[in-house]
Amino acid sequence: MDFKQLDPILHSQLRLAIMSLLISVSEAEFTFLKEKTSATAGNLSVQLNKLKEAGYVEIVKQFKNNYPQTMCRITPLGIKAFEEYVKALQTYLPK
Amino acid sequence: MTEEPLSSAESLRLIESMIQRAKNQFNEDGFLYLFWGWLILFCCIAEFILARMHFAYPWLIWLLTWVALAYHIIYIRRKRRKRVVTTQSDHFLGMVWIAYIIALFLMVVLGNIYEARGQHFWEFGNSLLLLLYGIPTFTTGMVLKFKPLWIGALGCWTLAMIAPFLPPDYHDLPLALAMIIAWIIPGYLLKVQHRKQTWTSNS
Repeated sequence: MDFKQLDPILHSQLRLAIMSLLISVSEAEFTFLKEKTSATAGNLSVQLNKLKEAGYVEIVKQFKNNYPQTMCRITPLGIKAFEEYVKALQTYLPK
Repeated sequence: MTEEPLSSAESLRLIESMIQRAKNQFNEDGFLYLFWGWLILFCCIAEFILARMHFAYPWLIWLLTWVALAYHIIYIRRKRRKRVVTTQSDHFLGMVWIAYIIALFLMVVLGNIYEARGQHFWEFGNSLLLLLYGIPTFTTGMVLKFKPLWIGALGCWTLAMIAPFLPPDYHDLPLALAMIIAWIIPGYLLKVQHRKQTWTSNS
């Protein structure tokens, strides 16, 4: 049985939670991710930036009704990485 | 959430629970179903009564739908600004409803062209409208897994089959009934479901 290497960017609780949420929707606001993951704004922001640096998510900062809004969406590279991560996970599961 | 290493089983459980949380996002509050349902119901009954009173142009009441369409566009723009998440199904259903509005508009134009050329399109036009109403209603019901909507769509299609057997003067009535079963009742049920979701996420 070959165990595939798990992507270290995704193999973290909060980053994996963010990616799992973003893979299910077209786009989501920072506040939505914060509510669903129950993470602090600071931690969420740090982990989102790590995902952004890896090219897995795209972050668009804009203004909505004069308030700053952060929209996040998964990139095609992020989708590929997520799919590979799930495939790799399956190699660790007992048959 | 901690940053401790995850086991493979924990990873899978986390993925599953997050996907479930995102999937349970129910953005439909039923407002537009109620808005259009009540408006079309009002237009149908008003046209029916005006025709009975021998008013020369009872169809003029339908001009209200243009004002409603303008309000609909403003409402959608405002709602989009407030939205914190857009799901794949929101995007898909948005496209289905746009296709429906375009088809509806073209059908009204076609109907008027046929009428202008002396063919009595609107004698069977309401049956076609009912067939058309059923398509986005059925699709939305299936995608949102919301039974009252797709049952309402089946109701629209049944009424479309019944309409030709009614006298021409009564053709507004199946349309009015369709609004109640396909948009007004599901609209109130969607409102209740949306309130429950908002209440659960706030508590």
